[in-house]
Amino acid sequence: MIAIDADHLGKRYGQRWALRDCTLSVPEGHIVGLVGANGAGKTTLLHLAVGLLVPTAGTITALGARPGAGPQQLSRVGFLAQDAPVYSSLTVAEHLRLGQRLNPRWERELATDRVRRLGLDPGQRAGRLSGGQRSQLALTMAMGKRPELLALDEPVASLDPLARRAFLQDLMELAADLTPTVVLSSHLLSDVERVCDYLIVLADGQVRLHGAVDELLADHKILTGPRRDVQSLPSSQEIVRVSHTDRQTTVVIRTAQPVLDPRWVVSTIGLEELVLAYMSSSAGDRPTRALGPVPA
Amino acid sequence: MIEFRIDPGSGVAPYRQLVQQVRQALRLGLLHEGDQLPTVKGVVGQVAINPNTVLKAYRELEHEGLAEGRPGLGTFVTRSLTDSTLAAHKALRAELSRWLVKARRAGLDDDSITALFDSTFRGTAEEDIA
Amino acid sequence: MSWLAWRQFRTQALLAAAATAAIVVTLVLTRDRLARVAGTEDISTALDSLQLLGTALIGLPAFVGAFWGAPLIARELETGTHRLVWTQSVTRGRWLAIKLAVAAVAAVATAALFSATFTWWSVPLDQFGNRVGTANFGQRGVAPVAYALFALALGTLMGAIIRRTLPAMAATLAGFFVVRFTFQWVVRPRLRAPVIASRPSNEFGVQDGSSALNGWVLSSHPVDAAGRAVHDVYAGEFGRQMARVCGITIDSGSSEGERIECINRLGLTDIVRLHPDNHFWGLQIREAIIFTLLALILAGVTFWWIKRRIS
Repeated sequence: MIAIDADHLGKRYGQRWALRDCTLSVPEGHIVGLVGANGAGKTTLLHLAVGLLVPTAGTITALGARPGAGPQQLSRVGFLAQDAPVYSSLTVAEHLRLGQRLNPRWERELATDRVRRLGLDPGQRAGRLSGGQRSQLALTMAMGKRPELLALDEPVASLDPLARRAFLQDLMELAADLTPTVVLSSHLLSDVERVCDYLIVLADGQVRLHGAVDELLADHKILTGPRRDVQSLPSSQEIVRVSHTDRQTTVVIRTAQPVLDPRWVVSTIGLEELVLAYMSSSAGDRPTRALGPVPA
Repeated sequence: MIEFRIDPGSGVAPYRQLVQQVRQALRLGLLHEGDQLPTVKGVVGQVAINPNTVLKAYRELEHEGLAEGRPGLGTFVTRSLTDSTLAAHKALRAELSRWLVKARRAGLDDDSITALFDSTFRGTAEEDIA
Repeated sequence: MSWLAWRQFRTQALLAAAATAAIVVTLVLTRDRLARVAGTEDISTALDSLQLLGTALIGLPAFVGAFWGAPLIARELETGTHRLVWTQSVTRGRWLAIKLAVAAVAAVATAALFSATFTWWSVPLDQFGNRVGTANFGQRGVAPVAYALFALALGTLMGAIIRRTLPAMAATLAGFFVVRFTFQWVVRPRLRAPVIASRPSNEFGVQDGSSALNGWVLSSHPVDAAGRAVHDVYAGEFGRQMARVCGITIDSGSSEGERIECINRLGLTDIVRLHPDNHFWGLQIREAIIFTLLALILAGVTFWWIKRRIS
C-alpha cells in the first residue's frame, strides 16, 4: 500500500513554482523524513498531501484518495502545522472536546490520558501554554482520531532540546502503538537520523532523492583519491557530487556495484553527508552522465 | 529493567547498539533467563528512535537465540551468557592481571599496552582465518 | 461543529447582548416621557431625539458585519488555526455554513429586536414624524434585518479575501456604508412608482405651514395655475403675469408682502413626487428582499473562495 503517491506534482504561486515536477511513491508504515532548506517546498508538499492546497500541475493521492476529499478522507489523515496553531482562548479540555465533536472516530481515553501524563492543566487556556506544551497539545489533536497518515511540519523546530526530546519520545510511542505512516519535515538531521527510516530530500521545489534510509546508505559511497577527472568513472557509478582541491578529489556516488579501482579510498556515507550532497548540487550543474536507474 | 541508550556518533547502526547492550547486560548478569525485555513502545518512549529499529534488534536477538517473542506477552530472554565457564573467566582475569603488572614493570604506558593488545589480537585473528 | 461555532462566537454574542440590553432599557425608560411630550410644543426636540437615535442605529448592521463577519474567517487565517480545524474531519463548506449560521441567527435576532424596540418607541411620534423618511426608514420594519445579513455576508467575504481582521473590518464598514447609502439615494426612490401630489407652493418664500405632506418627498417643482413650470417668479410667463396683474417686476421696488400676496392671487402650486406613508411596507419588503439576495450572493462567493483559494 502506498501512503503518498505524487505524479509530476507542481504548485505555483503567481510566477514562482514552489514545487515542481515531483514524483514519489511513499510506502506505508514508515516514518518518513522530509528534509530541505527553508523555502525548498516542504510545507507546500505537506499541505498538498493533507488537502490544504490544490495542485497547479500533476496529481497527488494520500492513502489512495484525493487529499481533503470529504470527511471520510479527512478523518484518515492527521496534520500538525508549522508553529502548532491552537485556539488561544480555548482551554486544553475544550480542544479535546473540539477533537471529539469534529471527528467521527476519536480516542477519548488516549487523549485525556496523554494530557494528564504530560502534566497539562485541562482548564488552562491554550494561549498560555509554553511552546513545547502547545506542540504536545497539537500532536494530541492530530493523533486523537487515529489517523492512518500523520504529517508534521517542522514540529520541533522552535523547541528547546528537552522539549524536543520529549516530543519525539511521545511521537515514537504513538507510532509504536497506532502504527500510522508518519511524514515529518525537519532541517535537524540528527533527529531525522534517529527517527526516520524513509527519506525525501527537497531542494528548490524538486525532489532530489527519495527512498528507504537503509538502502540509500548502502547504495551510496564516498570516494577519495588524488585529484583526477571524474569522467573516467564507469557508468554504473552515478555521480552525485564532486569536489576538488588542488591535490584531492572527493566524489559521492550512487552504485550497486563494488568499487574496484584501487586508486580510490572507499568510505561509507552517513545520513547527514548524503543529504547535504543532494541538497547542495543544484539540478543544473550536476554531471549529466549516468542518469536513470542504477543497473542491477 | 534494562535502560537503553543510543550513541549517534559511534558509527554502529542503532539496532546493533541495542543488540550489544542486551548482550552486555546478559554478560554482566543484569538480565537473566526468563526476564522480559522492555516493550517496543517502552524503548522508543525512552530513547526516541524508530520502532522498527527496536523490532529489528529484537529479531536479531531471536536469530542469535538469545530472546524469544511470545505473542501478546512480550519478548523474553531465553539464554544467559554468564553461565558457562565462569570459573575459566576467573582464571583468565587473574592471568591478565599478572600480565599487566609485568607490562607496567617493563615500562609500557596505557596507550602502548592497548596498542600491543590490539595488534596481537588482530594478528591472531588473521591467523585463525588463514 | 455547532458547539465550536457557538464557543468561538460566545464572547461577541455576550457583548452584543449587553449592548442591546442597555439600549433597550434606555428606550423603555424614556418612552413614557416621550409619550407625554408628544402632544406639546416640545415635540420638535422629541423628533430630534428620534432622528438622533435613528442615526445611531444606522450603524448597527455595519457593526454586525464588521465585528461578527470580518473575524469569522480572517481571525482563523491570521492565527493559522484554519490549518488545525480544516484537518479535523469537517469539510470547509460545512465549517463555514455552521459558523455563518450561528452568526446569522444572532444578527437576525439582534436586528429584529432593535427594529421592534425602535418602532415601539417612536409610535407616539409617528403621526408627526415620517416613517418613510430617510432618517428612520432603515431602522424599523424588516430592513435592518436584511442590512444585518448583508453586512455579515460582506464582512465574512472581506475577511476571506483580505485575510487580516482589522483591514477586513475597515473594508466592511466602508463597503457597507457605500452600498447602504447609494441604495438609499439611487435605488429606493425607484423601488415603487412614487405618488404625484400637489400642494400650495412652499417655494419663493411663500410659506404655508399646512402644506406639509406626510411622506418622503423626492422632488418638488412649482407650476402656475395653467400648469406651466415656474423657475423664477420674475421671469417667463409668470413674470409677465405678475407685471400685468399686480404691477410687480424685479425692479419695481415692491415689498415682500406685496410679492407674496400677488403670487397667492395668481396661484402657485408645487407638484410633488413622493412616497407617502402608506408606501412604507411596500418599500421595506422590496428593499429587504434585495439586500437579502445580495447577502446570499456574497455568501456564495465566500464559499467558493475558501474552497478554491486558500492554503
